Amino acid sequence: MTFLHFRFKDRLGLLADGSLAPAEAAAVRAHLGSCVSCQAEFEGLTRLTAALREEAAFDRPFPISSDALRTRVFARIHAEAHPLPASRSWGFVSGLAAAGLVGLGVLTGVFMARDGATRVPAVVADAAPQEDRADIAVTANNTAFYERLEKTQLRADAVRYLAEAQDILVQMRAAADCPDSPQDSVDVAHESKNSRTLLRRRAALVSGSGETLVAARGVMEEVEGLLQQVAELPRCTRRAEVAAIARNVEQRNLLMKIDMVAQELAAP
Amino acid sequence: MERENGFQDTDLLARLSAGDEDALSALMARHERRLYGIAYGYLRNSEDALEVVQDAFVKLFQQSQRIDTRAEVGAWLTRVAINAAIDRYRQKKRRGTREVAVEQEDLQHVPARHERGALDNLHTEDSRRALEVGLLVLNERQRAVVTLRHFADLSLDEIASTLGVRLGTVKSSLNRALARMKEAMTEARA
Repeated sequence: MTFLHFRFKDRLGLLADGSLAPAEAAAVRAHLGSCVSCQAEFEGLTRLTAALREEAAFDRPFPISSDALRTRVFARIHAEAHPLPASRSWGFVSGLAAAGLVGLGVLTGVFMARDGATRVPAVVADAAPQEDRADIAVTANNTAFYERLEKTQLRADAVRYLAEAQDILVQMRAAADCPDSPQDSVDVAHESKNSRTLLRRRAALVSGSGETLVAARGVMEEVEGLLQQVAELPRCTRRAEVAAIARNVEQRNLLMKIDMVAQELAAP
Repeated sequence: MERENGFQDTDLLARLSAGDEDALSALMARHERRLYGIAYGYLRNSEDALEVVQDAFVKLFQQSQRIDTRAEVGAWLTRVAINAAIDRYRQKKRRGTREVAVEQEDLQHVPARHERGALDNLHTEDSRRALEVGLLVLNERQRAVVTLRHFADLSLDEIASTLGVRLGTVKSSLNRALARMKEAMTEARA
């Protein structure tokens, strides 16, 4: 083993990677011809770099559509430019929701601890590698964990809310005849009651949600407007009135929009 | 970088710095997949990689007025994306999150059925997992160098510029990274 052997051995990875200058590459290749151990090492490194190239060339599908990415990016840009104030109008309900989420987080933490996954430190200083070092302040990792959990829960609640609203808007069109005037009225008591319940849930959902649901805000506002119309309907409502709401839903393509937003919210 | 619609990235950056959101959409369409490839190459997790891509574009919008409009937008985005990926990976390692734990489990379950070694038949799914085991043993800088070299197809000079380190540092990092990966994958098979 000579000094040159170790020098050339330290170049094998770069040679296999194709990153050596031609003259240096030629010198290392000349050494390979007379060194069995370097030859074996080089063969392994060549297979590795080929595997890396193959993996890089793999056409990995983008996980969401380009439109969905744009929606998310612009939602964040606008939310950060105009942060939503934390509403207190539903303080009791949102307080209950927050307490529930914290409880859920604590329970999750307990289960994680039981599984031996107790590696979440209390407070850890966080740092960016370069230019953004000053942008990122000290971060409490467990706080971030609970925030993530809360966001996931909020998105799941929003998906449920939208699915139930969709059910109301669909079922309303197939409401049974009203016993009092079966010719021209339908019984929408069930839908009306469910709409009122959903509207209360919507207020609790939106309150303090920050930017988590910002991408869904437009559709949720449209849904809210229609649920308010349904909530105000008397038990026996004229068919024409129900048909007008159904037409409104169709003209807005609202059922399809609900599907798309629910999909977006449920995406990882 | 000029594309089929005639606008260069620098033109779009100038429009973006004037508040034109359509310019950001055009830049996203051009760079989203490339950035995702880099972020995924580093993080090996689609959800995290998607977050990194979003972070990069949000930051581009927010800092567009401070970027020299003659600058290479692609290189700027690459730097932001790789730094964001390093941050995310570092945070997850500190938290000891599930993804890291799963990767460590993989280390013990690398298939041992290859006759010639762990580096053979790397086109198979099992061997792709073996490759991930190799990536797992790298430190942050080595992982970044390998990612930029193979998943962003940058030259060593470009990697040095992106990471803000000397060319010699990139060379030694890449060489050691490949040697460590090969060693880890071979050990995992044994």
